Amino acid sequence: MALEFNKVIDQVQRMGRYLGKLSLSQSDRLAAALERFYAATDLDAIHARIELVRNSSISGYRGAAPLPKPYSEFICGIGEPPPMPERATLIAADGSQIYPDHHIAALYYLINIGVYTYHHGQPRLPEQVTAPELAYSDSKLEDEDGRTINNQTVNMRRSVEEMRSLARHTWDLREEARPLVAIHDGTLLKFFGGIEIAYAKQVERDYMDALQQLHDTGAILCGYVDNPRSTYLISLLHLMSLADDEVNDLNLKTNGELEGLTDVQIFARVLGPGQRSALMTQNSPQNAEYHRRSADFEIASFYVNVAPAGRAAIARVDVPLWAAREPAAIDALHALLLHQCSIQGRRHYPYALTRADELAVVSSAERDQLNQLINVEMRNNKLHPEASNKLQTKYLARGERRQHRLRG
Amino acid sequence: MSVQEEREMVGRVLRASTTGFDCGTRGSRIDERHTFGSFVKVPIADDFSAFAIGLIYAIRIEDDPLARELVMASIIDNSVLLDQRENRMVPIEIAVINVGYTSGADVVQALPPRPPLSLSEVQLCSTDEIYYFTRRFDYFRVVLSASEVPSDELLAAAVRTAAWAYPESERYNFLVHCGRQLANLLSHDLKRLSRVLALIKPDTNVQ
Repeated sequence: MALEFNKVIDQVQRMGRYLGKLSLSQSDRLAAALERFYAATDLDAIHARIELVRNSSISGYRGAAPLPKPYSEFICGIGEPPPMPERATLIAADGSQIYPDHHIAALYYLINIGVYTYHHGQPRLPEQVTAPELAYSDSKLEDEDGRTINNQTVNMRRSVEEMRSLARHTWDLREEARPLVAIHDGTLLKFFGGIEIAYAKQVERDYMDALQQLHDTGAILCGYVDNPRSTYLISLLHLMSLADDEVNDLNLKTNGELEGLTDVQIFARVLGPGQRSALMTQNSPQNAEYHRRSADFEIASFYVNVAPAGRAAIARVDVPLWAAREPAAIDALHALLLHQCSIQGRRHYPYALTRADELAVVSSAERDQLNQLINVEMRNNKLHPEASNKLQTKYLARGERRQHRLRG
Repeated sequence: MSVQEEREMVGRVLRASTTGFDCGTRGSRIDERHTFGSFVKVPIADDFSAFAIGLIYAIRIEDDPLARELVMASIIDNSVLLDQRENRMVPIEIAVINVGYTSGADVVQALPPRPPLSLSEVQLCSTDEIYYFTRRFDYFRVVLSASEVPSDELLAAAVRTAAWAYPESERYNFLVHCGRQLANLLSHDLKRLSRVLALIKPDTNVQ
């Protein structure tokens, strides 16, 4: 017995009551946020306030900003579902990984990338490709100081591999029907600066090279974020509620009266079925760094309600500015994502991403099989693979029970 | 594998015992080879000197959560349909009951001495093989006494399949012999006998 439910049931009930109260107290804040949202009609005032936080000693603003002029959209504007392109080519990439484990016989990590191509409007068989990469040499497994790399590094390398695979396949398919849409699972804004990421500079370079290749194909790149927790718009509404002399790092540390709300809560109330929000960029050092490399690489995003009716299902869609500046490209992306999210019945998620994930995922059974294969190869090379005592005893205790039977 | 063999392959063995086996194939490959009551064979010796002979008694199409969600969508477009049938490995399982075996030139209508191994190729029996196997009727008893199969329907389907292996001039007599054999085996259960006979009753123009 691992979890004694009789001991946790009281806590689950208390948790339910706590969440209920939290929701009640949030409803007042949400009403205030909606009021500010609908009042945010003065684009010039918003631009002026963004200029203020960008060109002063204030560094703590991490909220939304309108797109640069002349591409800005009204923050409270709503985009209706656009007409569907007759034909299009959608390429989705996703990845999964096996982390390095000191308790098994050999140290390695594995990244498996799945790429799926869907020919919209053409009765063609979709294409699927997987690319597993086994990393086992010291140069791959150690950081700059000779320590074993951590899981964050593996995650980041997986993200970069996803983007590189997406770029390669999109490049190969550049003669296919347009629009050409490249879909990445998750945000396009990656944080490479953490000290825990090994060889972060190289990882960042590889990522930016992939972005450049995608840019060169003329593809509409997007990062699809399901159920996002972002607060870009909430931070902007808070910023706009401050008087000029109140705009300082201290006041921007939180979202004031709106603290605790997320953008999804606003857009679940505002966006009807199929509608999208305005395009916005995020004011952050990462995005500034993307912009510094190329103005085309700065990341914008919009929210979209991908539910065809009833309860809203809000997703955030990240796009680089090279696509965000083209209204026709955004319309095509908006329409194609709605179509993709309608394929799976009650589950509103892009079909192409579901399939890319299915291609990429490495199950625990497959991981065990891979470990067996590695053990066999080690024996073939006169090595003696042995899992740690900790791992072996864990499997003993978790093993299947057998009944005692009398034999006749 | 030759084109002919590919055409006759029903699937590969997933699990097996001496009484029968299940074989699997990809969803996109289901066709007239996968027919209830068809005679199939599978090697039970490495040198292909012996084959188990069986009858297909169930064909199951597996699902998964994604397929269940797609069913809920109002429209399924052609690309998704192709993707599900061609790309996704949703297997079809075909269940087979063993009714005999061949060993060299001998045909035995009893359970085979050993089961086929995993991944052995299961093939449709040729017209000649069906013809020679069904010249005796001992396998009727195996089918009728099998509890896990729809035995009456299966036997009737097998007899109808076998009839087409006979030249037109012998077909009517073959069906009459089958009927007589069934009358012997089911004399204690006239309702059942009447039902099976109705299922295999030859058309009046098959004489």
